[in-house]
Amino acid sequence: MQEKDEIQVLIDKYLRGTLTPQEQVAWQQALERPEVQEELKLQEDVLSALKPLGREKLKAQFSQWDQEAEKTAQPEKVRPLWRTYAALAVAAAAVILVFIFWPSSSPAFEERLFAEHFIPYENVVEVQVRGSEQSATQRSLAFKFYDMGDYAAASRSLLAIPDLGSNPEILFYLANSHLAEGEIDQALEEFRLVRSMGKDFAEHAAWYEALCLWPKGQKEASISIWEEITATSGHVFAKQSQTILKKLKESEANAK
Amino acid sequence: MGKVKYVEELAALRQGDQTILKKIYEAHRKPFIDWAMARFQVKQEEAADVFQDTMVAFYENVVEGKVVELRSQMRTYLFGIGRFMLLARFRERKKEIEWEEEDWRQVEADAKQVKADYSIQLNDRQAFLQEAIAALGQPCQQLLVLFYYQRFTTEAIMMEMGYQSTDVVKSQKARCMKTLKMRFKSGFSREGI
Repeated sequence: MQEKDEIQVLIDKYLRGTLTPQEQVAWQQALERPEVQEELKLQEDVLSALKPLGREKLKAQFSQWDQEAEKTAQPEKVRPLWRTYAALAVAAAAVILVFIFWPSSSPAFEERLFAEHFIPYENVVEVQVRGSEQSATQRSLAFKFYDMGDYAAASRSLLAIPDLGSNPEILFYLANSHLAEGEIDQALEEFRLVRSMGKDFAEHAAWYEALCLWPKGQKEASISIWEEITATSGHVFAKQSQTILKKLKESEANAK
Repeated sequence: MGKVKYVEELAALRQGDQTILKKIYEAHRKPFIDWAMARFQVKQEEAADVFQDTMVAFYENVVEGKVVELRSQMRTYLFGIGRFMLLARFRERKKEIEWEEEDWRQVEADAKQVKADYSIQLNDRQAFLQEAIAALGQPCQQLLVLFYYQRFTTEAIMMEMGYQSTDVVKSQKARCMKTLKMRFKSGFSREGI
């Protein structure tokens, strides 16, 4: 077992080009064994197979940097505190889960739409909320997982928060967690519930509801919501919705 | 032949240093877009898209050890890759406009290192592995991409994915690879590819 681990370390270092001269000698000796050759071949193939996913991940990272830079370059506007946090969160949103619905070839914009635009909404509420000691602890734990990108654990913890059903904030982040985990139907139901409450995050939930509907094939419904958002003055997702609608029009025109 | 440049930066990048990558990306994005729009008459969105492809190609060249130093300025090198990308995209439209950069000769010197063919060709084994990876679940996919493609260290993966220690990262990676190998060995041989 120990030798197997050592071989794995050598393979990792070889693939990264970080073998020391001494390790190089050990590596050359190890490489004479067929099972090591086979293992190396497999891991090289894994690396090749991961390339499409890796590229998408990297591009998602680039797009996030673009958003951050764009936001930094814009002058601050006077707006309610929660909106300020929300806007900062959009700018700083960190993770795009391109893996979930993403084929490896080069799909058209319509096929890429969900992967390119779904970003789990950043935690902007934890600092504003005070609850009972027990629920505050549960809540802190849930948002800790959320902030770490462990959306499965975040869902479990958010579900354990008392008064979940009447709390649009918690429901909103629960829906985001479910969507990040690929549980679209569950997420859709929760976003709709948040919208129906008409309180905090109702606007945001509209954007995410439209995103949920898209991969389900309900494109007309998605477009209708984005049009509604665009028509709403000062909507937090107005710009993103405009961009999508514009790209869809271009995509449609190109297809003709 | 120009002086060797960027050895340390490229070495750091090869080890998955995202700070360096971000610095290079941010420093060159706007100049690249302005240049591409002016020289190739492309829209801003398209220029931005090509720049991302350019950075991906550059990154892959570096982490795969194909580029360990430059003799031209980073800007010139990146614009050289971008030029290949733009030409490939717009070959049919014949939009090439004469290259006027003074240090184009340096690009030529580095050009052999430029990965002009950006397409990915997977053989049967790799295509099968790709499907097996897709079936692994998001956490394993993310971990493997971070480790193999982005060359993150176990410490960096721990931070990125919120694991408690590097040992957890290592054991998680071992589990993911074990599952992948099992699926590969049973599935690939069963299909008789």
